[in-house]
Amino acid sequence: MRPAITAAIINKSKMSYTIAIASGKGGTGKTTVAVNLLQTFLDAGMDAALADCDVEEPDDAVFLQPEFLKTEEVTQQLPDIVTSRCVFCGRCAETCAFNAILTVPSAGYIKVMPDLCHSCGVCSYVCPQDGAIIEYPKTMGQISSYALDGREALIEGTLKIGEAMAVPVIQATKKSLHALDTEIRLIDAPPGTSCPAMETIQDADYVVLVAEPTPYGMNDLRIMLQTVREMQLRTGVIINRYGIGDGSLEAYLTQEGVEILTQIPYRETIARIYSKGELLVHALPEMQKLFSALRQKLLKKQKPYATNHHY
Amino acid sequence: MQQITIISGKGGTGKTSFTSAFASLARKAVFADCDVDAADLYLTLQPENVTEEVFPGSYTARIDPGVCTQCGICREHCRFDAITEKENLFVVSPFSCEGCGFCKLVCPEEAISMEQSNKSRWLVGETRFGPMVYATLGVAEDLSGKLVTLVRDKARALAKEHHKNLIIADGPPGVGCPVIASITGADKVVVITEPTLSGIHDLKRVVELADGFGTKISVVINKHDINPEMAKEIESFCRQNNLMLAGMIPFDAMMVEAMVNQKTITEYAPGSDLAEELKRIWTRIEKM
Repeated sequence: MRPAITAAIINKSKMSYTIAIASGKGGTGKTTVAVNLLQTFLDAGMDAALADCDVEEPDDAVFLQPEFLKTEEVTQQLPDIVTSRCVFCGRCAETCAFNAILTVPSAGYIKVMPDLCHSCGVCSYVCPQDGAIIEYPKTMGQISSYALDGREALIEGTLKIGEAMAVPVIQATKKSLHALDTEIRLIDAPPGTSCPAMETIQDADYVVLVAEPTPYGMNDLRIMLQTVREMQLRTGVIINRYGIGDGSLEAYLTQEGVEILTQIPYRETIARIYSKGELLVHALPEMQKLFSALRQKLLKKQKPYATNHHY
Repeated sequence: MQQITIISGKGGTGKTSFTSAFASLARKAVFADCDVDAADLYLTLQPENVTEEVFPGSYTARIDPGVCTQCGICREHCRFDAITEKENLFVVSPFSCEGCGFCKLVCPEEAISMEQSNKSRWLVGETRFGPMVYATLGVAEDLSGKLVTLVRDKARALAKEHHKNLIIADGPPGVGCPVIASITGADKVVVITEPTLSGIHDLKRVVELADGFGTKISVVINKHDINPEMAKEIESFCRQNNLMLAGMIPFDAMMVEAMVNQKTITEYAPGSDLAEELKRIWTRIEKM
């Protein structure tokens, strides 16, 4: 918890701009936009870093080929019941909102189900017996940091395989990003509109939505736009693989008054460069141009006092 | 009864297009869209006579500003940093709140209530290939795993009711809670991947997850011609790990054209090389 507090203090003294890159549908090109945008900011000599919060499948490092610095474990406190001290009153099981504690008092049976536990701490609080519930740390995933051109610029969260809860790893990843205290903070979000995605983007100053001009892509973007509006976040859309599908996505965005930030064309060369895990901005001059223009457009959207983070 | 779940690890590799193609090839099947966060299967399968029911969602704390005395006890106890002070008022961030009720429990003024979301739905309809169950998840709901489990259970009930012996489930991307819920109880898992560095990276993670469930796993490579060397790498990964490579298809604009026309690829281009290859892939998966 310590780094968060330090970051909050530093944060107030310095201007920062957090841009989240999100999408309703998976595989629309969030990662492509995030890594190429980071490289564009860095190539322009700006103080920027990226957090890969797509912790179920983090891929940013694949493209950036950064220098590995360190890895930290992300843990969550889980309750363990000391049966010798437990009086089987059942209060913990009754109060647990997630049904994570199973008890049969008559049989002297009590068990915590770790997969259901959200680590809220209610059971320890309501337990009347001293030392009957103790909490121990359980590893949920890890956070790795990497350097680009000698400076720490990528934080990657990875959910441990088999773990169900992504949110704690996402929170820890974001905290590490904010602790770097860069001027530009990019966040690569997980796809969708469920809890992990919303947790990731909720305090961004601007949200870049990456969409695909197909019926599935448009359906998912529509839900995402509703969500982002409900959260009162400012947003614009990048149409990726422009040229496939039909024109209905553009028509829809125009009708809704949503800004189209840029369009990345569908081209075999782009698909091939992507497949090799290479950066578009370094491989194709026209992509370098496109991302430079995008960088300038995004900088213009920065509010003068946009530093109101919870971190 | 058999359940086949289609997953991918990485998003956007073609799960839903393949699932709809399999739907048109399967006999006596029920379809379940377990990607409750981005449910798109219905766009192609076009279910009719749809009935809709509310899925009771997660709880979120609400602080009554008229009763709250800003003592800060709730904020001290909340482990999710969900309570913040804004303009001298304590408010709950619905996106961070897990609904545990700790704040309500400790509030000395009884200013906090827990409100249950009713924004999620589950739906049942009849498609031209058989019955279908799907769902829509309310914004920022964290019960996607439970909703997926409900969709799966309803699919089983529908299969029994309609005397079908197969469930084809379209899964979500990733390796987290909704994916775990989607492959629980599956007899076979089909991983749709693409020959890209990130595709392989994600394939390995999702195979590790599915392996832990002890289900039979097969792999399909979509857009294999984008990077033939990478496709070969996936082939050898499958061989080394005893995964069945059910087949591969090249990039083809027809996949998207079919989607635009609300048809499966086998309906949109019957007899085409693509449709024939998909048939062979489906046969291999059925026989696995």
